[in-house]
Amino acid sequence: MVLQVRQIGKTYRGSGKAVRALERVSLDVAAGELLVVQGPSGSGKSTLLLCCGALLAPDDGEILVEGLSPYTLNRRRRAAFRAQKVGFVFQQFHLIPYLDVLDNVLAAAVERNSASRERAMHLLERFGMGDRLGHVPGELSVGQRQRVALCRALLNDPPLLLADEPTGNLDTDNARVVLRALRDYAESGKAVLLVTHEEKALSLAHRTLQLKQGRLVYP
Amino acid sequence: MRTTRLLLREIFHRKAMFIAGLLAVVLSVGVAVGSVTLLRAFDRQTESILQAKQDEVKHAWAQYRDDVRRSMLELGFNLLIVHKDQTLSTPDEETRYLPEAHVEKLRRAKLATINHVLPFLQKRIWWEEKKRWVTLYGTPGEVQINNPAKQVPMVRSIPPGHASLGRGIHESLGLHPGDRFVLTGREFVVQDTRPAEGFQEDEQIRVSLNEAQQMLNKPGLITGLMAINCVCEDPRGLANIRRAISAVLPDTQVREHKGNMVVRAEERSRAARETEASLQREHRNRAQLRTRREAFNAVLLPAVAVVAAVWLGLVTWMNVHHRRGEIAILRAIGWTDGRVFGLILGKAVVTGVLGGGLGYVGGQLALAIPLGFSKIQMFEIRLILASLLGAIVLAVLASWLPALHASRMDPAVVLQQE
Repeated sequence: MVLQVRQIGKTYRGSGKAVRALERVSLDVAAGELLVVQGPSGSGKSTLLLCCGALLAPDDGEILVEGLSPYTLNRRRRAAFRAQKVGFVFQQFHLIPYLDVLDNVLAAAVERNSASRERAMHLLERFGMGDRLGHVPGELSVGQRQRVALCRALLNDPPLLLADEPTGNLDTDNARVVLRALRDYAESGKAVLLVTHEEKALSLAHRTLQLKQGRLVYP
Repeated sequence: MRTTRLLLREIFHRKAMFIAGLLAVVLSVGVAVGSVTLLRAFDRQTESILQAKQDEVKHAWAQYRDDVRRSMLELGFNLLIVHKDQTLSTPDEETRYLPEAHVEKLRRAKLATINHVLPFLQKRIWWEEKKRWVTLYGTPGEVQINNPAKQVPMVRSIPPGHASLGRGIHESLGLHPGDRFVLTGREFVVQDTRPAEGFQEDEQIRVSLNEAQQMLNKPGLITGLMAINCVCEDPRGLANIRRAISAVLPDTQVREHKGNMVVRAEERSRAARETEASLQREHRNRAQLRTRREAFNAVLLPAVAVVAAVWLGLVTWMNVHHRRGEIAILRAIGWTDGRVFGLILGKAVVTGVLGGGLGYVGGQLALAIPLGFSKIQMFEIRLILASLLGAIVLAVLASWLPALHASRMDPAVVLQQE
């Protein structure tokens, strides 16, 4: 099992009332599996994803990625853990505006060598961005930007890919390309956790879970 | 991808913000370099002024020594020939006059030791027109006794209607050669104005002997004769001269009178001492001025550094805030705290290096343009290194807190907000 989530809970305590974002959530994602977690806005999907990605420590429960709990690591090791074990794709792409396409992908490189560069170029070619290597994000369409973000997430070949509404800003064709890429990545033996509120992702999922008010609802 | 590549791309992308931070460093380094350079230029100027003063002192003493040497070489001295009953003990003593014909007697005697004589008639008189006391001094000029072509006369004859004024008179009345003035109802034209010669001489109005005799109602009379630059070849010369003169002019006595050379040497000694005192004063003034400038710099430089650090710190803080999303995603894809910290501080180092270099050049040019390039040492390696190092330290310290904030930023919070 690549990802194991055990009874995690998360509460946000801001200036106002405390909000319970996740309540005793448990799930597993196996290698070769694309798991879609569906739910309306505010249901806790993004929180779940950030917890799984070693970015947000849950208050309760445990998360294991390839058998290792990232929250037991110090900050430096956890950063290295994220670089090696987890890939992120976000709805807002989060590309660095002043770096060109190739440098945006290479920003995630664990090893700063020619192999990383070759792999980055290979990925960009594969996603139809081979002729846009020197362009900055502002010169790309939203679909192209998401493909660059996808290439960045896949650069280190992480065992776990986390995607947060990756098709939220895309048209149908681009959404299909991205979802197909996620499915292909899962079928290459990796684990993919996709959180979305869109129905169109369901057809490509190996398994689907519903999240409502921080709790998993089994269909 | 290397951190430096990302850092440089970001600088080019957000030029205005970078320049705003850079300006703070450039200004602070410029002010510091300018202050130090100004202080050094001041030191060089001080050195040059004091050197010039020292040269002046050396020159003055050299002139003094030269005069002494010349007077010693020539062994010349002046003699005063007056009536034998004139004691010269009190200023109020009644003057006993000599006949003017004594001059001709002396000339005819052709005494070998006397070169020339200066007959004179003098009396202290009340100058009614100017309401002051002066000494009226009438003389026909020097009369050659021996070697008439040997020397240019020290005191020339004064034409009738003309006058030579001592320093105390022409300076106080503002009279210049060519000016006219009236003395006891008689008009004179200023023939020349004399430099300082001594207390008595400075208060003298010299006119022709004839005019003085008329004004004092002493026709054919003189007060005495000055035998000028008498030369003696042995120490007993003065006694011999006295005897010789007494033989020719039995109703007279001979007294020593200080020579012009001695007067001039005294003047030069005084001038040298004054110049030396002026050198000491200048030395003290420059030292005080430098101390004040140092004290001013001691306040100015830290103040400028603090303002620049706060300014740069705010700019860096704004930059970090502006890049929250970017920093969050870098953290999400595995950048460590240290790498993010280095990214921000690396930019501070670039700001420091550029700001130090530009500030150095700016500070030097800001002084070189008004003062002149020759007064400034443009390439001073220690100051260049200090500027660069100081600017880097300033920029790094100013960016430290924003960099720490960036490295500690919670990416989950930012990614959820954006």
